[in-house]
Amino acid sequence: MTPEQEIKQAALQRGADQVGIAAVSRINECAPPGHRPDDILIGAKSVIVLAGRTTPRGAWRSPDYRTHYNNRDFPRVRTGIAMAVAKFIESKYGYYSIGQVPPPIGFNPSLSFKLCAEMAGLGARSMAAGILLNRELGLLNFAVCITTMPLTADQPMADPVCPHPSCVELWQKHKSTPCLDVCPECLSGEIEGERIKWMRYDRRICSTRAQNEGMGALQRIVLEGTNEPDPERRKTILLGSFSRAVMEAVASGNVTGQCSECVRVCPIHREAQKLTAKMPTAEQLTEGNAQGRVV
Amino acid sequence: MPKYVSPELYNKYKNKILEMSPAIQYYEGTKVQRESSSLTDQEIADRLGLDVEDVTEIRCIAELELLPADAWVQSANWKREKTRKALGRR
Repeated sequence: MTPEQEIKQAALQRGADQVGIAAVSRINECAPPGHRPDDILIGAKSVIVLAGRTTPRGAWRSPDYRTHYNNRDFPRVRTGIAMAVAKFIESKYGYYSIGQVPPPIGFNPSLSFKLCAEMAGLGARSMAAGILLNRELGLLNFAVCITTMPLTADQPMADPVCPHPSCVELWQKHKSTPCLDVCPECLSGEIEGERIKWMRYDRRICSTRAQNEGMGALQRIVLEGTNEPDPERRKTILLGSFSRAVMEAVASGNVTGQCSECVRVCPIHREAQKLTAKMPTAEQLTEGNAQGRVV
Repeated sequence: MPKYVSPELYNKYKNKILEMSPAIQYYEGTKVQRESSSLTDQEIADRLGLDVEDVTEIRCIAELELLPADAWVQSANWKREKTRKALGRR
């Protein structure tokens, strides 16, 4: 087994759904100075990207949107997986490694995990806010382990995942796609042939949806509350149900990925969320019981 | 306490800085274009002739302040409606 295979296996065993490796030199061709892996770990050579299905598939079938983000389990475990991989590389191979990057400043991340994952071949950009889509898993969450260990990198996907053929057909008829239809405030773009010609993502409104009950909302509640001269109105702002929900989300750390409406309607993502029951049917059970076994 | 940015400086640059930041992301094909937006704080500071710490503070405040105060509550209502519609529920 090669070191690359061994490292990937270690990550998969700890809960990642897919693992890819990107070369720091390749990431640096796209990432601006100050936001590169070797700005975070001196001498970094490789980034191991850990991808996980965001939620159990059932979370997409709840009519209460909050069920979806409360079921986002990979963000809760991803740091542990990345840390385990970092420690595995250090102990087994003797190369400096880290499993966490510095926190974002405002909405700007210290390192784009999307870029790392794209370079590691785990997904390709979509019309839906440039989110990476993966044919097998749909929407993904990522964690990274940055290491000074030189590893053979995977390659970015050769072919785009987006647009889906049904979106190409829709574009030809109606000049729109499901994601553009559902969120025109954040998304715009155009398809030419079977490819995205251009797309634009406006994060300003998206941030109030994707981090609806999060740090930004909490900061704004505090500002509005402290500026409000009427004590009764101030009480409503600070003690009302929305403020309570925001504070609960912040206290539990469950504050990101709270909106995925553009992805919910995406045919690539929808296909990746389909399940086929593996339990025997009632008829099979009846037949099996008659024969003293489950068929 | 964080770095203080004067109201004059903030009001002069808040919209410009936010539009130059990754708040707006434009792609040709699937390649992000970084000529006029998706810039880092340092790149914005260099272009506008400002101190990078001022740019960071202005951007962080503008990310939250330039939205209507009820945008977060409205977003909750919007998501409730979209989810139900996508699942064919009332």
